[in-house]
Amino acid sequence: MNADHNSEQRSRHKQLDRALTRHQGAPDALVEVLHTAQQQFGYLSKETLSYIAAQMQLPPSHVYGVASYYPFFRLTPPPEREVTICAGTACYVNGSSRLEKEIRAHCCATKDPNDTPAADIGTARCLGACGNGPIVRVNNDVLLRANVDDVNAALAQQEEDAS
Amino acid sequence: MTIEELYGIGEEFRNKLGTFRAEIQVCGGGGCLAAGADDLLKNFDSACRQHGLENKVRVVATGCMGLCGAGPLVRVTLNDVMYTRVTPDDVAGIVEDYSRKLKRYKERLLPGDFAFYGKQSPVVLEHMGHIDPWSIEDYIAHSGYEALAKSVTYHNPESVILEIRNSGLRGRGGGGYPTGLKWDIVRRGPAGNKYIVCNADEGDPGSFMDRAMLQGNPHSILEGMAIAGYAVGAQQGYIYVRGEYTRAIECMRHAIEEAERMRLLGNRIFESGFNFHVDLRVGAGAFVCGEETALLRSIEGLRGQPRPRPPFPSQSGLWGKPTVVNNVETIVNVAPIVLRGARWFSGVGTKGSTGTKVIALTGRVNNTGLVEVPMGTTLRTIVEDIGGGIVNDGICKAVQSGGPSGGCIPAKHLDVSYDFDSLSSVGSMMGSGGLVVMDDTTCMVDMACYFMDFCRSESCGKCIPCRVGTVQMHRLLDKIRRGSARESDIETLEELCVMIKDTSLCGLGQSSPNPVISILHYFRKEVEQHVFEHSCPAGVCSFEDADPASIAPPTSSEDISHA
Ligand SMILES: Cc1cc2nc3c(=O)[nH]c(=O)nc-3n(C[C@H](O)[C@H](O)[C@H](O)COP(=O)(O)O)c2cc1C
Ligand code: SF4
Ligand code: FES
Ligand code: FES
Repeated sequence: MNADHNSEQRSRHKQLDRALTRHQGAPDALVEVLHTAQQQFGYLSKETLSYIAAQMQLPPSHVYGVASYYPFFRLTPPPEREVTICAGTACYVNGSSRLEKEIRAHCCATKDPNDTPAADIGTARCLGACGNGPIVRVNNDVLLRANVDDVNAALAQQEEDAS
Repeated sequence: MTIEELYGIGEEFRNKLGTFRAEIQVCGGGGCLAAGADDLLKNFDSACRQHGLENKVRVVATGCMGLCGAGPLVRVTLNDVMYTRVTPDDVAGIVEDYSRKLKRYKERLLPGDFAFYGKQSPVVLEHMGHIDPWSIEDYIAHSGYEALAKSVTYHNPESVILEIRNSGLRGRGGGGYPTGLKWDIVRRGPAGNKYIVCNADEGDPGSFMDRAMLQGNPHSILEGMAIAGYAVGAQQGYIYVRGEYTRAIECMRHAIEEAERMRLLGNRIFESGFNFHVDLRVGAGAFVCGEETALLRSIEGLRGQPRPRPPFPSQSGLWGKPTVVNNVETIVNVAPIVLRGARWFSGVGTKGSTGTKVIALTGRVNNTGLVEVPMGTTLRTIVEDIGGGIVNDGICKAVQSGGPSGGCIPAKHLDVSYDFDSLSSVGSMMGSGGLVVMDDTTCMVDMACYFMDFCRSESCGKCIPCRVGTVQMHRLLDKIRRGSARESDIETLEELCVMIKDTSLCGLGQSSPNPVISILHYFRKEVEQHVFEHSCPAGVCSFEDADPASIAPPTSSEDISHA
């Protein structure tokens, strides 16, 4: 298990190193390299950012500044389970903000307040299925014309599939 | 590759298609994929095999077919019939119908005279939804790369630019700047490196035309960019795609590789002296990066913040070199203009807005999706005929065009024509082509607040009017929503609109008051009902802060100075 994990980490590092070599000396490649790193590790940790800065011979503050400027880059690990409500205009006029309130009230939270919620709830700018709003993404499942019951059902289904 | 070889490849592929009796096309666009198109594809494949049809029927995933709200869509080319909301349960029936030449499966059949398609005239979207976006041969078989071949072989760069100028093509990304003029400036710029940048950042939330084209007909973008490169003397192009568009990025990467393999990109294209390379740059999710100067900085690996213009990118762009920045749709218009001529193009649309426009039609209409109409089509045709009217037999209240930079047009202006100038004359703009239809469940104050919230969170913070002004405007609009606003707040809002418009650095700030201005103008009564009566006709606002204090004497310093 641990060995597996280590070799996986190593191969991820290799991917990152490859991207760094490919873009050697090209200062415009920073955003590209960050994309690769995030793809490999799921997010950009402090260590990853310092590593990139050292390899690209850029000031760490510059690398951090660029990474934190763009919303697409995650500086913290992604949550294990995620419910994303589309907040784009097309979904908004089809009631996405009311749906968001309902989801926050009725989904994902467990009864025990000390318990961690069952999923992180967030919004996105547009989930790309604008003709079918409101759209909600539950991890990798995209729900069209979604309501609270759909979200709960998807969460339950995924739980079942995982176990 | 020579032009003859290109024709040969097209011919060969058409012959191959000719060996099939029919195609079953499954929409692989974003909306239909989310609705389960991937599974359908597999189901059709195995159903055809079961009926022994694998050599008679070609099952293929295409790009977006347009009617995204009724997905997944399936087309059978034999009788050119389309099915909507297809489920795996329908597959057997559809294939059986075809194989036994029955016409029994009416379940999901779209009526042949469905107005959604009848009122459109696709140019940009002509082949999308019909061809396989992952096959360069399919594109070539539909006259793909012919315009590039002809440009490079028979025309000099000046005459290509002249053709684009004469066509009257204007930028589809929001500004509406004449494309030929922009190219001409870059062509005349100092010799040396020049660049073509395709803006595929698509920031307007609720618009998806660029995404659809990237993953529905990627080669049409590459061909347009190469023609632009030839015309202005650039050897390098970049496509700047939104990071969230994973599938579009994959599809585009594949298309670039295929085009390089066939030497339609690279050195000595069509055995000429023209070299052109395209690289993909993946954006990272800031709306302002769609603004051209911010976008260029982002390609250079910096924080994507705008800078003052002039100099314009056409004078000093990527690494200080003359650079064409064009929207995806602008670029896709190029090849048809080269093939069919400027006169044909300028004959479509209106005098000031030639050609067609792709619209992402969404909101409270029955038919939502991607639509392409001649410029000058009325909003009413788009909403009532193509859109099929309002859901639940409701009444149209307003349409919003141009996203967070545009305005809300009230239903009384539905006879306005959809073109650059007419939309501005009613206080909105075309933007990139988003059109959101609203009915009486939409509260205009809430919408204004929504757009301002968007601009507030997307403001890059570089200049104060936008950074601070959008926050203040949002706070005031939210007060109206919550029932704690006073009459003076409306005045303050109006003052802020003017200030932000006049003093912001880039288009994001300058146009951010537009939705609010249009709502204060056309829906003043509704705003005042919120402020004075704490009532929301749409039943959206809850007035949670409404209390007698909100009509009590002013307390804050700015209000005292008014008194
Ligand atoms: C805040 C802001 C966002 C923009 N977003 C986009 C966009 O997503 N796509 C686009 O093509 N143009 C966008 N533009 C317009 C571009 O700055 C530029 O005018 C356009 O890409 C030029 O191409 P065109 O002449 O073909 O329209 C945006 C402008 C502003 C001010
Ligand atoms: S107007 Fe707004 S987005 Fe544009 S530069 Fe100023 S702060 Fe940034
Ligand atoms: S607006 Fe919600 S998916 Fe695009
Ligand atoms: S995504 Fe299938 S019709 Fe648009």
